[in-house]
This record gives sequence, structure tokens and C-alpha cells, in this order.
Amino acid sequence: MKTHEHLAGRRGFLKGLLAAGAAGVLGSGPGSLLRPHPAEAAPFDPSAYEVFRNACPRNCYDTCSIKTYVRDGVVQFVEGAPESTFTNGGLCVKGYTYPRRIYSPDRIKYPMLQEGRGSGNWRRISWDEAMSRIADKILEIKKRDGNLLGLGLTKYSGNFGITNYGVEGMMSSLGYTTRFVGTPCWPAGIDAQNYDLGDMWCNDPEDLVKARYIIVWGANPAWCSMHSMKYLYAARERGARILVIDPIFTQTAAKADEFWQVRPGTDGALALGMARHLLDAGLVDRDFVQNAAVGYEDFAAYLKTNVTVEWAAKTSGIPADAIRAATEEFAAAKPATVWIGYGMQRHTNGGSMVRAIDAFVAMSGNIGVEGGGARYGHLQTWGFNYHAMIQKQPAGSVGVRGASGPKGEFDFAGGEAATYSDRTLNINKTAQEILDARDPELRMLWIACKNPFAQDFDRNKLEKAFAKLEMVVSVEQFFTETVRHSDIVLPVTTLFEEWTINASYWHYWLSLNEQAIKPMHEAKSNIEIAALLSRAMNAREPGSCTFPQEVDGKEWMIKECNKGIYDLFGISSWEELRKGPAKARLASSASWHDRTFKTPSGKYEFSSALCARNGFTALPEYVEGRRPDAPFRLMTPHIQFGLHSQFVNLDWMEAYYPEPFVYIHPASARKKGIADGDMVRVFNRIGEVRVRARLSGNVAEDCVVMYEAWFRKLNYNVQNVVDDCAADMGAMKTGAPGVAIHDQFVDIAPADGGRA
Amino acid sequence: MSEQMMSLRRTAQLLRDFFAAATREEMRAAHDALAAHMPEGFSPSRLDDSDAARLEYAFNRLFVGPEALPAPPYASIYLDDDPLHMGPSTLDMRALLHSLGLAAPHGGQPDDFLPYELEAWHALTLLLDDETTRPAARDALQWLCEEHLGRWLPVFLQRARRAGPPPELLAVLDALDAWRAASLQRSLYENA
Ligand code: SF4
Repeated sequence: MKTHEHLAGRRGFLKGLLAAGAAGVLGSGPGSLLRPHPAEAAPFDPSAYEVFRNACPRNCYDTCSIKTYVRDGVVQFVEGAPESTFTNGGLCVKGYTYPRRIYSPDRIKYPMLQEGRGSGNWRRISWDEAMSRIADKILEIKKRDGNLLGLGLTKYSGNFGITNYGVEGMMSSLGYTTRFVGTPCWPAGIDAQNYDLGDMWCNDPEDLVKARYIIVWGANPAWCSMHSMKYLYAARERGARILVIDPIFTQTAAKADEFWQVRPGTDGALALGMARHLLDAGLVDRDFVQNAAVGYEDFAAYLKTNVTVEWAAKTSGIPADAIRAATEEFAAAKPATVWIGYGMQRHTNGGSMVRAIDAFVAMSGNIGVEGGGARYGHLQTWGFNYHAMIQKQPAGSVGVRGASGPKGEFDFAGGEAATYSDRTLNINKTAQEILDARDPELRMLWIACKNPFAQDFDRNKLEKAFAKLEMVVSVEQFFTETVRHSDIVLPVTTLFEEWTINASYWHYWLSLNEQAIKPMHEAKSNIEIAALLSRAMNAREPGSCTFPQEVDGKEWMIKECNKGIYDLFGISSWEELRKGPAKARLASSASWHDRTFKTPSGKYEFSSALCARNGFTALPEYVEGRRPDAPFRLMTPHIQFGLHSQFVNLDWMEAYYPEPFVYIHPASARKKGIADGDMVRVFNRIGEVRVRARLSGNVAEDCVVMYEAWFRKLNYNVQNVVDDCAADMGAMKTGAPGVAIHDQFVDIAPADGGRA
Repeated sequence: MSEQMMSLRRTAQLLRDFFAAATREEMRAAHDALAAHMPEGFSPSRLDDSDAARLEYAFNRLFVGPEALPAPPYASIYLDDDPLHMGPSTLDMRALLHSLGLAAPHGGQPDDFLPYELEAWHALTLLLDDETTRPAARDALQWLCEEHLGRWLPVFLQRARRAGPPPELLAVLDALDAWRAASLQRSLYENA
């Protein structure tokens, strides 16, 4: 590779110029762009890498600790931190592309203004001008409405670095605004686990090695949590059996001992059938259900009256013999565990299905056991200060009357009683909520760490909703469909260009994220953007924004840390994280190891009065799924080469994954006159997607699969055919119910004459 | 100092100003100055408001963003194995700039941004006037024109032309191409 030092070595003229004192001869001419630089005499040292600590902040189970190698102020390569036994020195294929993300020529470089939304007529503007325009609009809204509820924020998981909660802080520092709350990801399961256990708290994933029987239920870690796979393999080497239950024959399923292709949305019936067999075969852990749980007798009665293994088999499509055999093996293996995936709860009956699985695991006596557990996720290590997030509204701010409601599972601000609060709209019905918002209408939307046009549901409706907005500001790194629908785009830093700190919702490691390089072009971090906005606001109307007008990223990272965090991770200061990530000191690798549950009864609740009060059944009863209104069920799970719309646009990923497909079973394709590679229309009552078909026995005959992704060169968006139908649970803990992402139905037909 | 060299220096400065322009007004001013300096191919020679708007939108579409760029004005995208910023070619330019006692205005701006390269060329030609710096400057110019700019500008120009620039932008691309061709004559630097 041709490098700097090669040029220096090969080109005597560089030394010649230095020797001749060229630097002294040149003055800066008229209009000069370059600035003086003291002549460099020191020879270049190619071994002089600087190493920085970073963390992958995407919405990924693994939240990898990264070591970043910088030379000449340029990131040369990244690797997984070896100090974390979870990251174990390696990243996934996405993580290794990071340098290509930082240095992609496609990055958004400057603040830009679009003259005519969607016109493609972009003007470059300075940060000052961008902030002036935004501040003017905010003040105009405040004057017009007498409050700032016309200003909305939609933000989710594009960057989970803790200081990025400064975006929420920025909104609070302006006044009471409109927030899109909830999560499209995992809310039904969170509520389910809260009903059963009192919190969502999973075992340390590193203790999967201790398990003797592992069910991976509706998760695909081979793609979405590849660092967890080594524990599955290690467990199997120690004799564990691995069963994968999934509607799709995934790469994880391919590695398992046994695979059950469950009928989507019937996992609850399957779990209840397994629970019934525990009962029938006398395999219930009497000690647990009698001493650590409440409501067991009612649940057992429910099972006896309403559930049979045969019924479960018929409903789920899994043979009764297989159900019986696996249940017996699961009960005999001590410990045994279920990994409950997020896909499984993205159904109209998703929460009830998670409750049924929890109940099965609880009956088997595997709750609170190392190597056991009903694993879903946790937020035990997220006890930061949320200094960036918690900002005060300016004096005299007016909002919605009454105390604030919850703002999502990552809302750590606490619900202090206030006279006014923000207006909350359901993030999972973003389009409808924008269309319906009244008094005042939603006039302006700030978008950060999120790409609504790729992730929000019913894209056609979203198009209409955005047309209603008077100003859209997006904070981005790449030109997404959302940027196309924006008036102003602001370039934001990558993780290598900012300071922050990161925890995981799966493992128990804490990672420092140091600024490794100067921001490229004119990118700024979310908190720097907030500070700039504050300056513009206060210049216009003193006191109109309480966000500090100067921020130092490193200081703000430090302000997120506290003694609780240090004690939990056994460190004396954040600086210890410079040596490598730290793992929480856990009394046990098992959650609920002391059997003290956070439910109202303090026990595991087979019967939850709280759940009943919230409009569901007290027991984890079977709930039928959404009824089809088209011949095929559509599933839109996550792809291996991206995280939602992130990564898929990078050249390395494009090489692996150049185009999307709809996967259809060969028998179904034949009936529809579709051959492998044909261009097809996947359509339903809300829209259509044109895409090539790939015939695959990995999907059931009545299902089709399209992976959720964003291709910069293709007009492909699964949200054209995914509506905003709600999942059952989620409102209690996250502010809004989840979405039935996998309860979608479509038809499919050859397009453009099929072959294209 | 040859008249041609004087003229090419002026062209390099005007092209620098054009490709570094951030606003419509800067773009229009640089365009009109180029048209006045080398009228051939520039029609009209002064842009009206709608021409200037069209130029700005097209300029941003091709060279600035926020959409993916058909022709990023950075050397490394064309010269390096990986079409990325801050690659070996960028660092070549950084080394050259540093040897001239110069640097890109801030750390996040790649050193091989076209306007900086044009300014570096301009600075090197000034060093031809001085006997002590002349030999090294001549070698550096040869490298810059023949191995660096001379290799990436043709591809850049081809991509930019293919992206359907409006006439006022095409005229600037032609001016850049003409400057590139002229900059390759070794005699230009021998006779200085
Ligand atoms: S995407 Fe996930 S597995 Fe890949 S580097 Fe990031 S955190 Fe690690």
C-alpha cells in the first residue's frame, strides 16, 4: 500500500522543500484556504499507532468493546477488545466495516438546506445559519401556539451512547415538547416479564455455557448476536442440547441439534403445551412453584382445563411426540434455559406468548438458576447520571397539564410530579399520530438516532404525515429516505469522533468510548448540536433554552458516571476503562438468584393481578393471533449485514449483500408462477414492494420473508407493506404497546413479466 | 515568468475558489471571474439568479451532498485501492503540504480536497522563482501534476460530466480540464 512514509521516502523533494525552507518563503496569498503549519523535521514512525477505546453503540445485543488503531490522525483499523470475555477480541462483519463508515465519501459533510422538500435542490449552509433557521422556527411556533408542543422529537436506537440522551435533554431545555414514546423493539416482552418477575432481568449470557439444555426461541444470534454463539457451542461441547424454535430455518437453526418450524404467532400455544406436559409427566419443580411463586394452582387448573399437548401440536404445527420428548429432556437437564427472542413478541399476542414461556421455564424450576433462566434482556447496568438528558425547561414553559408519563424503557429521568409535561405520541404509530395531532398540530420534527422512513410502519401513510409538517430537521451520517424528506440535515459524528460511554442490554460489560479522531468535515456530536442551538435560541430570546452553550464531550462523558456505576463495575474511576472494558461484579450469573422478585407479591407470579388490571388475563392464557387478510404471512426480520438501515449502505456490505429478495417456498412459488430470480410484487392493502424472488425451503409454505434493510441505490422498503397494528403489551413500561411486525399479510405476484 | 504561467496561476486560484465555494454567491462570483479570465466556453459569462441557483444545486449534487456524490472532489477516492477518505493519497498530500509549511484548515477536512491541491500547485509554482527552492519545487510539481492530479482529475472529470452538469458547470469542468492539460507540460516549470 502506498503510504505517507513511502512518499516521503521515495520523494526526495519533500526533504528538499523542507531543507530549502520552502515553508518560510510562502506567505498566504489572497483567498488562501490552507493555513500555516510548522515545518516537520521529525521522521515519520510507522509503528506509532495510538490506541483508543470505543464501543459499538448500535442497537445490537453485543455492544462490542472496540480497540481502535489510529495513525496520522486516521483510523487504520478496528478490532474487538480482548479484555472483554464477551467481545473476545473479535467484531462482527458489520463492526469491521467501521473505518469505511467514517471515511465513506457518501457521508453527509455539512449542514444542508433543501429548497422544496423532496426536490433534491440542496444548499450548503453554515452551522450558524442552520441554527438560526431552526431557532427562528421554534420561537415562531412558541409565539403562535403559546407553547412548544408543536415541536416533536423522534429518536431511538441509532446510537445508544449515553451522552446522546442529550438530544432528549435539548428538547427539555427548550420547554415542554412532543415526544414519540415507546419502542418498536421489545416492549411486549418487557411488560410480560414485568408481570411475571417484576422486571426484565436476564442471566449473564456468558453463563449459557453452564446450561445443559438451551432453547433459542425466536432469536437468530448467528446473525444478530454472534458473540453469544461461542457460549452455545461451548455448552454443546459440554453435552448440552440446543433446540431452535423459529418460523424460519435460520443460520442459528442450522447449528442446532433440533429445529422446530413453529407456525408464527402460536409460540404461546406451544409453550402452554410444554407446560401441560410438565404437569402430566410430574416434572414440575414443586419447591419453586410452591415457595417462590404465586398463582401456580390456578395456572395448573387452567392448563388442565384448556390445554392439551395435542391441541398445542395442532395449533403450532410441532408434533406432539416432539413436544413431549423435548419437554422431558428440558426438565431433566439441570440447568436448562430459554432465550426468548424479540421477534417472537412482535405479534398481537406477543406479550402473552412471552408470559407462557416464562411460565414454562418457571415450572421447570430454572428461574434464578445459573445457566438457566428465561432470558430476554436487562437494564441493570444502565445506572448512569443521565446528566445530558436531564435538563430543565425554561421558566414559564407551558405544556400538557399534569404529571409526565413514561417516555420509554430508557427513560431514567424518573417521573417527578410537574404541573406540565411533554405531550407523548406513540412511536409505533408515528404516521397516524402526526396526522391526528391537534391543539396544537405537530409542526416541526427533530429526528436523531433514527430513520423513520426505514423503521416506522406504513410508509405510505408516513409520506402523508410528513407532508403536514412545517419543518423537518434530521441529524444523520448518510442520505437516507428520511433525509430526502427533510428540510435541514445536520451532519453528526460517528462513534470514533465523540466521547461517550456504553452499556449493554444483554451482557454485563461497560465500555468507554473515546474520541479517537477529529470529526470529519463539519460533523458535530448530538450534544454539541444542542449547545449550538442553545446559543442561537438565547441570542434571539435570552432564557429561551437552558442547555449549556458550551460543552466538552469528555467532561460530559465523565458527568454520566457515578459511584454506583464504579462500585457495580469494580473500578475507581472511568479512567480505568482506558485499560479495557469492565464487567459488573455479579453476586451470581443468574438473575433472580435469591428468588426475591420485584412483583407486587415479591414472588414469581403465574397469576398477575397487575396484568389483569391492565386489561389482560391474570394467567398466561392462550391468545389467538391476528387473523390473516391475505394469503401469505410476511415476516421482516433483521439481516446479517446491517442493523435496520445502518451498515447496509457501506461498500463492503454491498459486496456481501448487494440486493434484497423476498424468500418464498418453492411450492408456493410454483402455484404463483414465480421462478427463482423473478421480479415480483409483494403487496397488500397498504402498499407494495417490488423485489426479486428467491425460492427457499427455509420458509414455510404460507410465509414469505423480506429482510428489513436500506439499500442506498434501491427503492426497497419493507415498511410499504407493514402496518402499525399494535402488539398486546408494552404500554406499562415503555409508554406505548409494541407493534405486530410479524403479523402482516401479503399477496405476491410476478411483476414486469416476471423475469427481469 | 512566462505569461502562460501567470495565466495558469490565476486559473488555479479561480478554480480553487470555485470548488471551495460554499454558497451560491461565492459560486457565482468564482464562475463569473473564471469566465472573465478565460471567456472561451463560458456562455453566459455572468450568471443570472436562476442560472446561479441551478449551478448551486448541481454543484452540491455532484460534489457536496447530502446525497451520495457522483464525483467527490478528493484524490483518494480515485487513486487509492479503497475509494475512501483519508487514504494513502490523502496522506501524500498532507506530507506535501507540511513540507510547504501548510496544512488543511482543520483536522477533519481531507488534505486532498481539490481546492487545496490547486492551492498547493500554486504555492509550488511560486517556489520556482527562487533558486534554492526551484529544484525541489520542480520535482514536487512533476509528482503533483503527473502522478497525482494528472491521474485522478481525468476520472473525476469523466464522472462529473456523466452526471449531467448544467452548461454553466460544464464550462468550469472544461476550464479545469484545460488547466490540467496545461499543467502537464514540463517546459512550464523548466523555463520558470
Ligand atoms: S454490530 Fe453488534 S456484533 Fe457487530 S460490532 Fe457492533 S455490537 Fe458487535
